[in-house]
Amino acid sequence: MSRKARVIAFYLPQFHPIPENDEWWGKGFTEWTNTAKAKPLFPGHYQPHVPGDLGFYDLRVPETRVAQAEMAKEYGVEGFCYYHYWFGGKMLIERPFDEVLNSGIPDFPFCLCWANQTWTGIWHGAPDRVLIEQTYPGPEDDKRHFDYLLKAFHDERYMKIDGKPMFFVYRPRQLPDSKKTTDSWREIAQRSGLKDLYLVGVEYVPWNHADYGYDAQVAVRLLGSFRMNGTWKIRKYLRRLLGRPQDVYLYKDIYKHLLMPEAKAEDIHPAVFPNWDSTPRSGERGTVFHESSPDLFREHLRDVILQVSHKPYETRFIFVKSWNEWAEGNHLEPDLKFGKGYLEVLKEEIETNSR
Amino acid sequence: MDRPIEISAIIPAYNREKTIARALDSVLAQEYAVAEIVVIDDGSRDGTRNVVERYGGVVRYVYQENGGVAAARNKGVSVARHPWIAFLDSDDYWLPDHLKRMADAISSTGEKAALYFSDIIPTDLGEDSYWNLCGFKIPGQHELRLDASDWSMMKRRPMVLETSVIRRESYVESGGIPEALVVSEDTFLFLKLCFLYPACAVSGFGAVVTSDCNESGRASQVDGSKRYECRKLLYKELLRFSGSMKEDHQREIRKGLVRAYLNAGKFFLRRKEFRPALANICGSMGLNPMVSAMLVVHMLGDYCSRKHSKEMLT
Repeated sequence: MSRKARVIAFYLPQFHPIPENDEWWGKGFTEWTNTAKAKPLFPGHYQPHVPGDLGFYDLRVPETRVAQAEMAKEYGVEGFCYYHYWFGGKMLIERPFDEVLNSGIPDFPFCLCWANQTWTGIWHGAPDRVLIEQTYPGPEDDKRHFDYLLKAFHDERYMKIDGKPMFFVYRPRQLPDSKKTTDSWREIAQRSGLKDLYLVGVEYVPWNHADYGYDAQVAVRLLGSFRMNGTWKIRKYLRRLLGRPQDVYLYKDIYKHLLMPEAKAEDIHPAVFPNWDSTPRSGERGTVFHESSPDLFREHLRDVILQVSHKPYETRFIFVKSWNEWAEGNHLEPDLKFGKGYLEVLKEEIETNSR
Repeated sequence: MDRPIEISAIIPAYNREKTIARALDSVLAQEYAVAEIVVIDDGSRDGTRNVVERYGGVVRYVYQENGGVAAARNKGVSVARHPWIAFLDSDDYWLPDHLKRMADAISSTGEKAALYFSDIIPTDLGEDSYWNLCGFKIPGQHELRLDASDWSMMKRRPMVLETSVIRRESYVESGGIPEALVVSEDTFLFLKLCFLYPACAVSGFGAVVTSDCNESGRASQVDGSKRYECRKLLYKELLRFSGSMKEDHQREIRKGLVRAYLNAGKFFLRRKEFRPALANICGSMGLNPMVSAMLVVHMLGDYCSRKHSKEMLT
């Protein structure tokens, strides 16, 4: 089966309780807590999203992880990019990935994205509260961090470009002395017998990634990186007066703004957004792509496929944001409203001989 | 790259019995041979067919009911069998080394671009280089640009269809040319290709263009209101690719659309057809209230003063 592009989906592991979240948010907290208690904030607002085929799963359950991988594979996703959390030696919600790595199941390609972000009240709409801070203690910490990562990098399922494992950094510009740090990572990787690393920074705007020591970037063009025209500001003000979320965009208006023209370059990989609604997490401060639908996602996807079509297949990536960000209303996984609609669109558009 | 560059020459023709032989001869005389020659006869009523058939099996002759030049180009691409296509208009001709230079550029750039183009000799503009006229220059033999949209958005675009070699796959997957675009179809194609794909300029001359190379020759045969419809369509269709445009280009295209509506409004106003005039002016207001309101005031002022002065004269 040949495909028009290589699709990788970002994967959030926060679907099982951990002591830290119990303490911060109350016993039993997971992404489902916010997902399920969401309410519509204006007429026609699609909330809550209730999961379909996979249910309110717990990622400690191996069968769930297998079911996800099988579904992803069937609908044209080549691999998952797991968010990975490392706070100067302390890890959080690492269990699902660790179990995938150690058990060898599911047999589905993956890569890792270091979500190097301080945890504030992000999961719960309290951004001022600092829960755990992202720090960069230096070479010793890098070494320990990479001792952990290398095991994954050497796994057969780990996604590689020309033999180099792809490793993502969510906030690449926050690393102190980025070039030196990334050089030392490469050195550690090479000492362990790897050819090199393929380092990818996630960015919102075009960015000189090579200067920071990266091989490429993922262009996640979202939130504040686009400007709306005309009456947008007035409408936004009216919404504020009404106490409604201000950042409500019609998906049909916004999807053209989600592309980055620079993603034509071989080393800039575009991202697609099937949907978005972060009000379950952030209430009125959330951003909503209103009236998202599989049909509109198809248009968006077509634009992006066109954008990458001239690249060599090895780097012809499209990143899906995201596989399962339920509390951001941003998921390919089936819900009750659209079922597998988004996945089916992905499959139809990405597979060359399915039409 | 070892793979040979296989090029299909596509010649759309409409009532061109007088010039098409010269065009065909220039294709056959290429130092670098084309893989096939396709003539799309867009419903000619003269002897175009007879002239083409004299060439026998070397030339594939495809007839279609008159559907306009965009339809003819799409048709040509759809019947072409090779990965690269080169358009030639039936009243122009290529210089003998044209495809050789293009094929060299294509293989030495690793087939990276979707569009390769070079200079022409525009005989009717009193210039010996079209690029000079555009103020366009490249340093070496060829210049590959990942993002050539700045080139395509120049005041005078240096790309000319007669010397362009286009990757067939890119033409097709980006949706070809909307057939209703009976003029400016080349503008559309170049802008679109440059928004979406890398492009490469190749130095040297590819063709002698005897007809008016900036399409006004053809445009003059198309009636006024249709021309304005095409203008609107051009920008509307381009905006489908707005996601792949840089912000300033996006603005420019949007402005173009507003202007197209206004010009159409002006045109109808001049013809005293008030209903379409109003529709077009409202259309422009809907797109950008601020800018067009100002322009409308200006335009109405212009209209009234002209009317006034006419009355004064009579």
